[in-house]
Amino acid sequence: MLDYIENMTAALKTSIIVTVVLIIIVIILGKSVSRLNPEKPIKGPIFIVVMGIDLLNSFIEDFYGKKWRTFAPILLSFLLFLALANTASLFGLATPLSNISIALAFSFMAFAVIQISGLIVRGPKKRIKDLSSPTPLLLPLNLLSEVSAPLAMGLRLFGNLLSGTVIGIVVFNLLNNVFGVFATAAVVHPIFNIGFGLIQAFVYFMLLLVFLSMSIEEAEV
Amino acid sequence: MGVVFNADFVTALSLLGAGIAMIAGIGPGIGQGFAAGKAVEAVGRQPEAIGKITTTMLVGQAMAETTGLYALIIAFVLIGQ
Repeated sequence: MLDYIENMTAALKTSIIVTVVLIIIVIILGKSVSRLNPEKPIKGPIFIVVMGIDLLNSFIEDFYGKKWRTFAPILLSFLLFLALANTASLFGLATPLSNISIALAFSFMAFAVIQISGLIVRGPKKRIKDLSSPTPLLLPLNLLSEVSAPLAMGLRLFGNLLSGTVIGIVVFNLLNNVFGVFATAAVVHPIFNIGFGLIQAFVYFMLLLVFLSMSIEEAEV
Repeated sequence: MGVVFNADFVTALSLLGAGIAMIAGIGPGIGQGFAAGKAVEAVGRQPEAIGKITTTMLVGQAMAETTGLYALIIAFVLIGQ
């Protein structure tokens, strides 16, 4: 078991660390939110957490209507994990999403979430009908787009984070002195991890939100 | 029986291919510039909506970047040959 953990790539180790940290943070926040007194005004950092979750919930509600409670948790989990994973290299860890297997795992999860919730909410018959609209001739193309859209989501994350990592390594090796450390730490990491990383996390969240709402609400139009 | 090439020749051609693949960077450049220009126009017309416009622009630009990233992935694969 220990051998297995030691032989994992740095990216996989980071993704496990991020998961554990996220679980701990979410459990602590959940405990302290459930202990709140509803008659008193909320104060401190908990207020920011409650406001943020409320903002995202109302954002999700705009897309899903009554069904938002079913889909908000998984969408928020994706957003939280990606936001923490893409900024993990600020804490000296490897970027998980710069590993192709983790990026493709995200593609597969998006695919599974979209297809399974489409099948459960719409039912198999209506789902096939949705896919073969407007004409049954377009069924192969629709099936192709069902596969290619999640694949593109994962590859987009991979390309962005990998380019950030590679540019960081190049800058660090070209300026092989104290200035190189400073340039990598002060310029490359903030741009590629905070800037692009958080934007990509939000883009993944947005795309999953839109594709999921398309797969469960297509025929109501 | 396949034709066997010189290893240096293969490396040279794959590096050349990686360079050619990155010509795809033109597309996202034009697209993102266009989106940014339109966002500037929109802010000029409606300065109070700058927050929403910036968010929409960033998401759209991140989408437009995808084709360039595919080229980047292909270039990395070719360099690793």
